[in-house]
Amino acid sequence: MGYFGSQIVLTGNSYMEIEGCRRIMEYNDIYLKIKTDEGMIAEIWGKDLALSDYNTAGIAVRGQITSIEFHGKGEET
Amino acid sequence: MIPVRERIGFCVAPEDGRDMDAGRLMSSMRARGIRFVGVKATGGMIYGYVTAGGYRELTALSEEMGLTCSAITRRGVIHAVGGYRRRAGLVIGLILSVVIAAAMSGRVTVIEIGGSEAIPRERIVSLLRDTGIYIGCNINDVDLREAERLIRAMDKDIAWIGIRHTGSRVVVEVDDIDPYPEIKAENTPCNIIATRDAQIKGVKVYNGQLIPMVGDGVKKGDVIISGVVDTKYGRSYYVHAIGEITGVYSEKMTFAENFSGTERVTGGVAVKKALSVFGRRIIYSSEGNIDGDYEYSERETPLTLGKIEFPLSRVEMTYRLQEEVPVTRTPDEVREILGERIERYERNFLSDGVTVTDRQVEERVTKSGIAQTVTYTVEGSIGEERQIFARYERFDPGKKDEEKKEEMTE
Repeated sequence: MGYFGSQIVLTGNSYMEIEGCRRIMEYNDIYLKIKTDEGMIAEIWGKDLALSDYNTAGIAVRGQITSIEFHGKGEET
Repeated sequence: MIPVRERIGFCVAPEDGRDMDAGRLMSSMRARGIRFVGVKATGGMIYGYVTAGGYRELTALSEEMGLTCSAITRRGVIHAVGGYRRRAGLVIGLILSVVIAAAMSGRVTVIEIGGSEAIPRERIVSLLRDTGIYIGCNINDVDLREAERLIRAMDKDIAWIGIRHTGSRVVVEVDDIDPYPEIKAENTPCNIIATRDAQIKGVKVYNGQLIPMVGDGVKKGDVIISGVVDTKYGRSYYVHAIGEITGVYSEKMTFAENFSGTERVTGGVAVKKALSVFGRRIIYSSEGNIDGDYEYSERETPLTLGKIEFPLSRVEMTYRLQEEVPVTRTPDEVREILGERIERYERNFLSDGVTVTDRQVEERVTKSGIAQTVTYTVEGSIGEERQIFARYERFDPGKKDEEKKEEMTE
């Protein structure tokens, strides 16, 4: 992965910003699965997860985040 | 916090109760440029906020995906303000505040006067009022240069006046005319005469000719130092007589007071409280009657915020009613009153430049009261300048020749 990959900002375990979000693959209040522009898959587990889209080509996740998993390009689970 | 742009709270649910793919819906929303905030997926439904334009797009998208979209709530400044549109008081207050702000934009609220210490502030305020400048007036209707010119013409003590205004504050700068110095006619021929009957005790002659000697008696109007000086050759010339003449003279004063009389006492106190708005007073509390004579005093407390003083103040007006009551005094009380009066007379009239060398008091008691006659022997200045009205004739050689001819014919 180069230097221009998606930037992910995590503030505590209550706020997360993911840049370059291409697609929301699955979403409910405890689970979020997204695909980034580079093809990376991110899985976020938590409680009361809420999404916001501020027109920045990324999304913001609020709620109680308990775990984050990343899978490489083409390793979709 | 209220968002500036309108936001609509939506709820998307499946039409037939089957499971909904929330991820697919949200990806589609992003693909169509529908911005969302605070989206939550719970209980098989999706809740969140979108913009008004986004809501229309979302409704269309939901129909395409076999979902139902409905608006739950609306947020934004328009809705926050619109909620108060039926409150008549708020609307009237808003309109009134706009009207008052527009009406007060050119109104004078403060007049500041500076520059002159000799001319009282009240006089300048009165002159300003005469030219149409007062608290509450519309400054835009007043020609300030014309007002300056008028005030200079109305009051001779004002050398220059400058009036300017910043917003509702009028600043007045006044420069008063310096008083003309007293012109002493020191070259005018004059005598020094006696101002009263007296015996001369001391003389200092700086210019002129002394007529009586020290120890002589003079009556009022006698010349003490003459401005007409004779030479040993029989000629005389006029001078401005200068000198200090001290004399001893007696002065008699009678002070009397009756046993029965009236005295002014404070009968009662009436208080009025008012609110002063732009100088206009609105009385909101009044206690007691103010019929008759009274002593008046007032206390004004302006409304201030730091150094800013508003044209709003609370005024408390106090009226101390004065009543005349009959009194009967004992001889000792009358003597005490007379003593005070004599002391006041001596303090006011026999203290500056004179010395009281002797003081004799004669008392006469009658049925109605007591009279005290005080004879003072006083040593003080008795000289006063008095001009000599000399007639000067211009030298006319022709006239002199005619006089010679007349003598020869005789």
